[in-house]
Amino acid sequence: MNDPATIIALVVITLISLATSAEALLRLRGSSNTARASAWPAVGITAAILGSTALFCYRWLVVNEDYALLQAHVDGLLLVAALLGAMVLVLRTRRELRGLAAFMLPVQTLILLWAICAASFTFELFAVATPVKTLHRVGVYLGTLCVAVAAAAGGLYLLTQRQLRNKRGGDPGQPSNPGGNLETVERLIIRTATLGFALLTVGLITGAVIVAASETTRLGAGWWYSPKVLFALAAWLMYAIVMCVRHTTSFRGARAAWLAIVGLALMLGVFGIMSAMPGQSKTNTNIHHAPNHLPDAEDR
Amino acid sequence: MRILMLGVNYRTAPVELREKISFDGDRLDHTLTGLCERYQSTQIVILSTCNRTELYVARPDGKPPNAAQLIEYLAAMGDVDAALLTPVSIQREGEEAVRHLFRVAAGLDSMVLGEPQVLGQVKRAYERAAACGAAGPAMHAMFQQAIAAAKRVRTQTGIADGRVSVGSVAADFAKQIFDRFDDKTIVAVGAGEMIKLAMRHMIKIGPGKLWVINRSVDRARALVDDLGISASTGGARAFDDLDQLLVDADVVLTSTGSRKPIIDVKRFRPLVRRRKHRPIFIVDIALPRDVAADVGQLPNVYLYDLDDLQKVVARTHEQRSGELEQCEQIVRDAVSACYEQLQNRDISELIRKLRELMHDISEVERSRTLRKIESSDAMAIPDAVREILKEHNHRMINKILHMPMHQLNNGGSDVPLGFYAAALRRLFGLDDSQESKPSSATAPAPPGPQRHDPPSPQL
Repeated sequence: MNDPATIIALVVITLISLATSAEALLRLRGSSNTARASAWPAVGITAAILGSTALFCYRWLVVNEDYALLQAHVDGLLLVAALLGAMVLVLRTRRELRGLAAFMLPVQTLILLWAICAASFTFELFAVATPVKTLHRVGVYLGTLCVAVAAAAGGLYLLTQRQLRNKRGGDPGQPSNPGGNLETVERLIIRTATLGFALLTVGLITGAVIVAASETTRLGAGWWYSPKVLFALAAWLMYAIVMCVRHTTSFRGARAAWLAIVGLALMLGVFGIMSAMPGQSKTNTNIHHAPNHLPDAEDR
Repeated sequence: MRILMLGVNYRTAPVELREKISFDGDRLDHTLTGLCERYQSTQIVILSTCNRTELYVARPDGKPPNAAQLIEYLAAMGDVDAALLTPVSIQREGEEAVRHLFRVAAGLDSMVLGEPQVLGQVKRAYERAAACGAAGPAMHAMFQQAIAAAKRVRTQTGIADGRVSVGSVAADFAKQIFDRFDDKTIVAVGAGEMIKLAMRHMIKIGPGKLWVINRSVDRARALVDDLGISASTGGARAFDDLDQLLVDADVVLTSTGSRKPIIDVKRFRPLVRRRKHRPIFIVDIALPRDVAADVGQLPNVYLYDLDDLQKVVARTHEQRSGELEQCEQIVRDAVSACYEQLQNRDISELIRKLRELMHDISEVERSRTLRKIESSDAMAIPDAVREILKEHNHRMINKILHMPMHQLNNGGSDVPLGFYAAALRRLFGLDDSQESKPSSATAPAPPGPQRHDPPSPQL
């Protein structure tokens, strides 16, 4: 499973993403001239997108068995990183969300770092033999992409709100202003959280179906209170609340932003349990992992 | 051509005088046409704003109008005593006049440093003169390059960053909280001058509803009328409606004469729930303050007082002043390039005239020589000989002019080109008063690296 080319390429892409993130964060606090002149962010983001996409395709066509699209956790993380980069490119063209890149790019870097770990440590392949399993993974990964954007928007919301409350550092019309207005950012949080909620719901339901349909499940009777499932349910609940902030008004504003960030942390916790703690499979928490030579092992 | 600038501005003349000699609409056209008819071969652009009235003139060397004549004309147009106008007028010639225009266009000579309106006013003044046929090649070059330089100054420096009035700062902060305003409600508490000024900026952002609330409803109605708020978008309300309006409002501007806060936590906290925790932006520009400071600690309440807004204005001024040197450098470079181009155009024109003069002289002398030969030998001179003689003269003129032309085109950094131009005019009696001035806005563009077709579509 440890493909050296994958790891080397991932390290390079991660370094590019890291440099771009650092530049975006500096830009957030930087002077007017650097804010105007530098073309690096677009170059860096584009390079990270192209690199992630190329590596995803390479793994799909060369590394993965039977040309499976999502055969390992690293594939899913690469997909999320590439799509996240594409969203940054699109969103940074909007003046009212120009500061979002500074929050989304670190998330992309984090996901790529995670992908390096996943590429190094994953010892079993996904089983993508049935449509339900494919749907489960697509739901989980695209849901993660949405909640990553929601969390980044949450960070931007908190920063903008803090600057508005402090009445300094974010002078109107100043390039150092993180950009974005609270209303737009809050709307983005709600929309991405709603979409993420829907996709995670699909992921949860299909995950439950997969486990329930297994005749000899490796998860055992107590699978539903395993850390992975509990973390996933907690994250799902966070986004359920964020999605409804327009109706549950006491969760508006900063609280919704915090919930979006905590939700992402919980999702990363789910991935952590799934990927970085392979030993947990023996305690019935790693429902994704199956022996390399048995692609549909989790159904056994 | 000589470049001249004459005018008055906010630094030199009081508003009472400036308003008498300000030009707009038909009066501007009339003045431009009148000046062009009176002073043939002269190019004129009149820049008239609330802060300045300035005439930019390019005239043939040694020909009218001079500054005194322009002042007299202005005084007559404004029905002002010329003796009153002379001491308050400013005059610039040559490169200084060009520099003045460039600085004005870039907002470096404005009352509020870096203000953007003046660039639009310069454009309109130029387009007006071009439309009247008053702007010739020199004015086209000057104004188009001044406008381009001003754009560079605005985009390459921070001179245009920030806001310079309390109202505009408040509007900008509102834009950091809300995305759109057509579904928002703005409430003004008070009906004084401060509220009026701030509301003018708020109206520009297009709110859905605008309410003015005041202890005297009549004064509130007067302000509503003054601001042109229609009944469908708002109006005046009684002071008793304050609580309900605080529930409905997204932005509150307040400036009353009250000695004690009219909005405190005790009053506002219950309203937060009724507002369903919607964000609210409160701008308190009253002294003493109308809103207790601890109201700003409530969730989703953004409270700004006069000090907060003025600090931003002060920072803007400070920041813009810091950008001044960079702006001046851009202007200096642009002025040098523009003035050199103007002088080169002038020299080229002089060289053309000098060459024509030489050829005229040689033609006269050749005819005379041929007549002498024919009369002395009583024989017809073959055409071939005539042509040889013509070519001989032509080559001789070229050789005589070669060295001075070469010096003019390539050297002379020790002596300004203007000196050579003046010397040529004086030594050879070259007068550029006969050069034709474009008679309409579609006059051919001057030669040069950039083509300038007035009025330029890019302006």
